[in-house]
Amino acid sequence: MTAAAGANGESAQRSAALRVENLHVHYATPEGAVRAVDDVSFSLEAGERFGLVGESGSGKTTLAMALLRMIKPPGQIESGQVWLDGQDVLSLSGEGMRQLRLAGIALVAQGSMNSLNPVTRIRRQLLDGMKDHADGQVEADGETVAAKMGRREQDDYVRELLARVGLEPQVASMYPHELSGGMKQRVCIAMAISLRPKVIIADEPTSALDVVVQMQVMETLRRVQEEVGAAVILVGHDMGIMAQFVDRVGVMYAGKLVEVSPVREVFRRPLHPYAHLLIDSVPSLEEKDDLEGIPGLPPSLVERPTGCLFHPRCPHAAADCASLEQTLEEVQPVRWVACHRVREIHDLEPVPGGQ
Amino acid sequence: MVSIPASHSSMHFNPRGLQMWATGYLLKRIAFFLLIVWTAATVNFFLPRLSGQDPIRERMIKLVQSGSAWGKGIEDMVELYNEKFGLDKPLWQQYLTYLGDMSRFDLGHSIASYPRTVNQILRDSMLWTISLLTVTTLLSFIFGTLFGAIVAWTRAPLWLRSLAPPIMTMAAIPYYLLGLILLFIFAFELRWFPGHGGYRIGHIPNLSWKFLLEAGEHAILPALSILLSSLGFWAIAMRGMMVTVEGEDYMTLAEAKGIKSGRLFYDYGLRNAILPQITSLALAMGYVFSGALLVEVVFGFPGIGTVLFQAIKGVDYPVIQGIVLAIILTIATTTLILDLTLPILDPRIRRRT
Repeated sequence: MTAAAGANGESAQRSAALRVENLHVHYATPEGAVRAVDDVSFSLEAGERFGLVGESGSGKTTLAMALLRMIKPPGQIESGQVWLDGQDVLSLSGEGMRQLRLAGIALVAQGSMNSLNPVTRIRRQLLDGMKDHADGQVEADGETVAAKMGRREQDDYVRELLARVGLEPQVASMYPHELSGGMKQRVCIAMAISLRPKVIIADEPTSALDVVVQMQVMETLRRVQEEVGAAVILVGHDMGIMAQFVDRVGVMYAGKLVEVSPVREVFRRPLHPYAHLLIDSVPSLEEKDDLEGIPGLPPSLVERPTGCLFHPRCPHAAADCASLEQTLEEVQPVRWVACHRVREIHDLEPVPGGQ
Repeated sequence: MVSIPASHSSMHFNPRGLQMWATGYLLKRIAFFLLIVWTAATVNFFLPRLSGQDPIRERMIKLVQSGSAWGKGIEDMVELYNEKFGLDKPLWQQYLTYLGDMSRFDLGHSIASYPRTVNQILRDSMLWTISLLTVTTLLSFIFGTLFGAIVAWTRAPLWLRSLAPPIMTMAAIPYYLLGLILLFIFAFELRWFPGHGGYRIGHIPNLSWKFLLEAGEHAILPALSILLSSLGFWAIAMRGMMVTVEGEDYMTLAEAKGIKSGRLFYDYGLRNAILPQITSLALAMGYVFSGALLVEVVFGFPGIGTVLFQAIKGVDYPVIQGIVLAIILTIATTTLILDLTLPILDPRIRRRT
C-alpha cells in the first residue's frame, strides 16, 4: 500500500466504492511516450462527490476514460490498479468490462449536445443499455433488474427514469433534436442511473449549457446520485460548480494529482502553490482587482521538467524543486499535497505520526 | 418538472398538425418535381436546336453519301420531311407542340429507323437496361455499404478488414475496362459465359423460364463488371462516413453504456452513417438508364445504352431527346422518392418548413 493510496484515510479503505492506485496512462507519440496520467491514486467512498479540476490537457478526461477502460490507441493504461466495489477493473475481460459499464460505472459525457443517437427515440436509448446488461444479473437494492420486461413494464421503467430527472413522459417518444440542451443532459443522467451504478463519472456535464440550466442539471444530478447512492466524479474546470457540488476535490497538473482536499478547505486555504494560483484566478464579485492568471504555460508532456513538474511556474520554487520528484503526502488531516515545501510556505505543524 | 415548450408538443403530439405539415411537404416536393421536369424538358428542346444542325438534311446527306438517294430532289425531300416532323413551324409553336406531346409521353418517330416510334424503341430496350442496372445497383449498394461499414469498424475481424485494399483498387478501374478484361477472361479464354448480346441470336424475347435463364447467363458478365467497379465506390463512401460517426460523442457514450458491439454497430454506427448513402443510392437509381452505357456497348447488350449510342452515331434527334427525357424523368422521380423517404429515416428532416 502506497502512502498516496490512503488519501481517504485508512478507515475508508474497506468501504471504498472506487479505489485507484498508481494509475499510469501513456500515449505513444513519435517523440516518445506522453504521460497523460502519471501515478494517480485516490479513492471514493460510496455516495461521495469528488471533483477533478485542472487546466485543459492536465489529464482529467484521460483519467476519467481510463476508469471506464475506454482509452483509445495510441493511448494505453500502462500500469496501476482500479478497484470498483472490491472488483479489479483492469483485470476484467473485454466482455466483463462491457458488463461493468453502466451497471457498475456510468458516464455522463462531456458533449451533451451530441451525446444521444440522433436517429432513434429517447425511449429506445434509455432501454438499450439495460437490455444489453440483461444477462449480467444486475442486482440493484436487492431487486434484479428484470431481463425480459414486457412492453408495459418497459414503459413504466422509462417513465420512472424520466420522472426522476424531472422530465415528462412524452420525452420518451421524442428524438434528441427535439430536446433542449438541458433536457438532453437530463436524459443522459437518467441513462447513467438506469442500472444504479456504484460510480458516475460526469465529464464537464454542463459545459454547453447556460448558467441557469447548469444549476438545474447539477441539482438533478445531485438528487438522483443521492437517491441511488452512487459516488460521483465530477470532471471540470468550473470552480464555482465544484464549490457547490463536490465534497472533495483533486487538483490535477500535468497528469499528476497535486492536491486532494475537502473542497471548502481548498477554497479557504489552498496548500499546493498551483492550487493556490488556480483559486486566485477565479474571478470574485467582491474584489474588483485585475484578474490574475497563472504565469507561464502548462509543461509539454513530452519534454517534462525534472523534479516537481510545476517548479518552472511556481512562485515558491527553490533550487531543489528541480531535482525532487513530488508525491502526495498527508500534510494536515485529510489534506494531501504533493509539494515538499508546503510546510515551509504555509508554516504548518507536521502531522503527528505522519511522514 | 421541466415543461416541454408548446411548439414542441403541438408539432409532435398533435396528429392534425403533423398531417398538415406532411401535406404541405408533399405538395412542395411534387411542385418542385414538376418544375425540374419542365426546366429539363425545355433545355432538352432548345439545346439540339442551338447546334444549328438540321437533322433531316444530315440524314439525307448520309443517304446520298451511301448511295441510297440521288443528290437531286434532296431539297424537296428535306422540305417534305421537315413539314412531316413539324420542323417548318416557328420555334414557339414547335415548343408548344413539343410540350404537349411530352406531357402525353408521345415522343414522335425515329428519324433513323422511321416509321418506328421512339416509344416503341424505348419500350424494347428499357426493360433490359432497367433489370440489369437495378439489380447491380442494389447489390452493389448493399454489399459495398456493408463492406465499407465493416472495414471502418475497428472491432471487426482483421481478415475482413484486409479485404479493403483489393476492393478499393477495383473501384479505380473504369467499369468498361473491367468489362473488357472480364470479357477476355471469361468469354474468350475460359468460354464460361457468352460474350455478346442479351440472348442467343435467333431467339425471340419472351417471359418463359428458359429465356429468362438464357438472358441471365448473358447478363452475368455485364453485371459483374458494373458490380465490381461500383462496389468500391459504396465501400469508400461508407467507410468515410463510418469513421466520422465512430468519432461522434454518441458513440463514446454508447460504448460507456456497455452496449453490445452488434447493437453498437447497427443502431449507432450503421443507422447514422448510412444516411448519405441513401441519398447516393437514390441518385444512383436515377442512373439506371444511363449509368452503364459503355458496358452495354462493350457487351452488345440490347439496352438503352446501345440504342443511345446508335442514335448519337445516326444523329437521330427524336430518339436522343426521348432517351434524355426518360433519363431526366427517372432522376427526378427517384429524387422525389428520396425526398419523401428521407424524413422517415432521419427524424431531423421532419421539421416544419
